[in-house]
Amino acid sequence: MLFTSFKQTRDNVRDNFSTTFSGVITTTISVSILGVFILIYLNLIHLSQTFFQQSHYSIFLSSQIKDSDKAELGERLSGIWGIKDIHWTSSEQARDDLLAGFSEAKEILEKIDFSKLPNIVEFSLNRVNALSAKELNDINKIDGVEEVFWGRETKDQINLFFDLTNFVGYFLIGMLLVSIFIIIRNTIYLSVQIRIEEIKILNNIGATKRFIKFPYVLEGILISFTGYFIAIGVIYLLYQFIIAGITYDETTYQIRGIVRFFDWFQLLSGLVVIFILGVISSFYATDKVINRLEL
Amino acid sequence: MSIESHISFNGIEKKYLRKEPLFRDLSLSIKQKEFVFLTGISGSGKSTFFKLIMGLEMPDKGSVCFNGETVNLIPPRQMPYHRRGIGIVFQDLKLLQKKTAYENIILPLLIRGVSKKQIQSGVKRVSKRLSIEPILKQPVQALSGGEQQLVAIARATISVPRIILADEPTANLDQAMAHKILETFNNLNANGATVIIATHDVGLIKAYQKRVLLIKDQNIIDVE
Repeated sequence: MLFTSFKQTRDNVRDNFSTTFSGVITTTISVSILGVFILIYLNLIHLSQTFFQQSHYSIFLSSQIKDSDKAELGERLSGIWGIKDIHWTSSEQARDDLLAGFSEAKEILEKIDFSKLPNIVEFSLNRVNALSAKELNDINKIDGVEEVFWGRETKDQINLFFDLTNFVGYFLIGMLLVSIFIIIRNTIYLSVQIRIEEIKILNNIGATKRFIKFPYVLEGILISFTGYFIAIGVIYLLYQFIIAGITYDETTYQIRGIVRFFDWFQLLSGLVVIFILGVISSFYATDKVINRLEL
Repeated sequence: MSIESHISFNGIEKKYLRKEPLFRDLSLSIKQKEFVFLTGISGSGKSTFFKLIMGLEMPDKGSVCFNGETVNLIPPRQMPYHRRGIGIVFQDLKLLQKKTAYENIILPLLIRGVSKKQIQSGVKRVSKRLSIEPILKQPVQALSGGEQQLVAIARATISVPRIILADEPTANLDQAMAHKILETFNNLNANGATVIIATHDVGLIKAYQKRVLLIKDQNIIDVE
């Protein structure tokens, strides 16, 4: 049956080439728009993770903080997921660093009362979410902790931006998937319409609905796959073009290593989605005609 | 329905929307391996008679039985398998015009999913019987009416059905071709197939001395 259906699909495409071709082109355009959008979105997330989400925190400690409190703070910090590069700086250490760095101003600096400078613990957080309110509260509760300082506003703004982008993104993705569905459905619908007499003949001589439908479902898969692969090719060329532009620009050269194309898993997932769309839309179109014919 | 009967119509009533009934309380039976001519005026219901056997139309009342199975009770999913047991030659032939004679003939075997080897031996058998080997590779639209008729008969018989229904198979053909086609059906009947031929051709009916069913006054009567 498979060989017969392939042959039938080939005949369908040959006899109805202009419709199939326009179906492929419109599918390609939709998949390209969808792919470019997803690629930009993935890169935005990736860039934001790279540049902003490794947040830097500073904990200001009292100059009279006890060793036992320091130990408790150290223990508490090491228990937080995603924490890295914990760096302790005492007021004395800060003074020594300053003196070493500004030796020409040594006389002036030596007159400053460094005991009033706070001890500081600095660390980075390598995860998507910032420290939670509970984690912050646990740190603040420790005696000797005066203030936890971090770029919360920036992070909140980024998170808000992504929340909005997600909403718009899901809507756009949904709309484009629906449009791909409609394009394939209409193409197959036209293809089936042209062959109504043929379908009736097959039905009269004992063909099952499955036998009748299968070549059209194959045609739907063919349109969706062809559209998908062309679109991926177009997006890849576009990506290469942009990457090449970045390479020649010294100010953005470092970004080059960060901008990503789809990985194999994402490409395969896209193929699965487009396959399902091709099957469902062509099945729907064929079913609609066959049910109307009351076969 | 007797044990021997192959097809039976039991109290059939059939009418189309806003038209007089074609059949009213129609009952008849056709035995296995019978050769029957079905005749009647145009629009009397010859094609509908075939459609009722094939399950392409359902009776408004009564039942049609084929091989002990009530056709109007066959579930839609099983209907294709019922139709596969019937070889049909339509009045308008219903051939796929863009496809070759070969591609048309093998359709009943393709839908059954039989092997390529079986398809080839089937084509060889029917094309030899109908002497259509030279036209197998030609597209149907390039063939004459008589050749197309032979292709339709080849398609109807390639799967060796137990019953063959032919709706006006000799219409628009010259006498020699008509007799050739009738001889083919006669041979198929001799090989065990039940054959029902719908025709207007009185000369042909007389020439073959077979059972004749006449559709008259919304019923079918046996004509001696």
